Amino acid sequence: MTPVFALVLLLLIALGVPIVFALLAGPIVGFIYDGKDIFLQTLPRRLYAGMDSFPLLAIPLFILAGNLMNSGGITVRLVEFAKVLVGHLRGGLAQVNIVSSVLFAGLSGSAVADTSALGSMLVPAMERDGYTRRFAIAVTAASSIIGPIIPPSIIMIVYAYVMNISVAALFAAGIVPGLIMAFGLMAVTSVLGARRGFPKSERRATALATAIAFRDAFVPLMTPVIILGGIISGVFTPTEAAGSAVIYAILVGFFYTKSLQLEDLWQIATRTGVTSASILIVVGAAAAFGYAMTLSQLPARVAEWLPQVTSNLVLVLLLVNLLLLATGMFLDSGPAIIILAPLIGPALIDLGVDPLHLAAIMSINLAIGLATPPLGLVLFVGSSISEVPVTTIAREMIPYYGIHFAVILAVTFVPALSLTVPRLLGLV
Amino acid sequence: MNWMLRYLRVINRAVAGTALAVGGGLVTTIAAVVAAGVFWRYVLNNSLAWTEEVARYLLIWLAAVGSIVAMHRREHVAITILPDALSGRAGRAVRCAIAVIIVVTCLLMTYFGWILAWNAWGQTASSFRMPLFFATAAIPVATTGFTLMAIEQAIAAQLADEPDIGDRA
Repeated sequence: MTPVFALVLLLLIALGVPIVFALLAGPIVGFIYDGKDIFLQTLPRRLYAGMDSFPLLAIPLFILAGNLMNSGGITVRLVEFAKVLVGHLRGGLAQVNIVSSVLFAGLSGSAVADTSALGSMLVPAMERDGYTRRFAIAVTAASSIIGPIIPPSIIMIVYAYVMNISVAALFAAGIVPGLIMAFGLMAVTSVLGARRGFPKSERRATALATAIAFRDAFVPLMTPVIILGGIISGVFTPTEAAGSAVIYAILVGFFYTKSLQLEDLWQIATRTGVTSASILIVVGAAAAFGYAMTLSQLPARVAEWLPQVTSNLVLVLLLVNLLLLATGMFLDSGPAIIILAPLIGPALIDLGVDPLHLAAIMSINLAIGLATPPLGLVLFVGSSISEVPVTTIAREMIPYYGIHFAVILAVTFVPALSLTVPRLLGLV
Repeated sequence: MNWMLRYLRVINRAVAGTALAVGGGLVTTIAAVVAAGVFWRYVLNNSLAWTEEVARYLLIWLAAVGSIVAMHRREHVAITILPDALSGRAGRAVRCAIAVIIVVTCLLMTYFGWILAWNAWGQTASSFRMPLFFATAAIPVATTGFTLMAIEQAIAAQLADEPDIGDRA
């Protein structure tokens, strides 16, 4: 089969056709062009089969759990806890913002959720404290991509499903890179803070205040323990862990924080439904597209061609990262993984890249793409919260992009960063 | 064309409103079914056979109805640099072309989707007696919904009408 279907996909995406329809129209045109009309009737079956999966149920359930915790006042307690930990440093609230992102990352799997939850709370607080609004939203956006790197992570669930690897292992692979990212962003913040004279609170929180904040945050902070502990120990599948997180969030919201209202639930459920459906339908359409890709043997051709260009693994990995970054600038991470991973994955694994290492590189690189212009989703959410233009946020983020790129390079060339934890836990 | 757009808008608003409500119900049911599966398996030590399969079918329906709403709100991810950059006639033409491409794609998917659904009448789910038609029908239902929304968007682009983004929050 000729690669017409892939060209049509690219053309339609560039024209402005939504990704989900471009993924379906590509194979339709390709089949007709190649005189293989008989395959047209397989497309709806592929679309169906692509979504008929128990692991994918984790996507709506993690989104639901995140929305429930946000409405249940859990975010507020996490931020209070972050304040007693790092609020006394120079640039206190900026550091609090980053630490809150780490804590929030253990509950939610999406950078967009992180930006909207923490941004709407911390940006006004930071402005009152004397920060510029554009810096406040820049630090929120820069740290929010820790959300899909530290588990749970929607991007990683999609990757593990498309490439048929263990979600638990990939989740474990994200922990160390996520923490390194956080420390890097905090270091940049303290340098910026010293240079620009960010506010610094007079004294450290007392031991009593710390203890109170910890007590208030303890029950919400058990969520990542349930999710990660359950998945990594093999007790729960990711879907079961996500379902348990939903029940836990409902119980905490109603009986512990008492901030969750019965009338909120319906709005949370419908919002979750639309958000997760738009991810799932793309996964399904990608399965239809993937069928055309298999018939065309395009991945096998890439695998034959790549070693002829260069077999220098360092160079190949650099090129892959450039390709991912360029793609991530325009495409959302889910569709980018769905299109690129099956295409270039087999070639790279043939060259000797560990499948889990490759998964970590791709997930983290594409997570960072969420915050890069011109089409980073996180920038747009940040812009709509703060009314600061996307380009201004991106310019303000330049020092932080340095850390983002450094983390990608570190993860790419030091496989131990991502592979040690899954190996210690016996997941690979 | 104006009268047609008016009718379509009324219909599509009703379709999207219904789909939104069904989607909320599905999210709630999926959470309950998965939680029941966990409870029976770990607490009562007695796995329910049907929870996993039911949850999967509900997930497909959720993807179908939820993305109909997303289509109505124009929230499906797209790179809109080109249509945004063009103004006037060129912009209208591109927006209209995009909508027509969606209509043609979805009509084909609807046709083959109904064949898929009908063929599944004879098959039943493995853990309980339900023709698989009731699961596979989600695909042509979704693409029918997309078709309706895309026709409206094609006409609206032609008439340079304000887009109807419905009940977007």
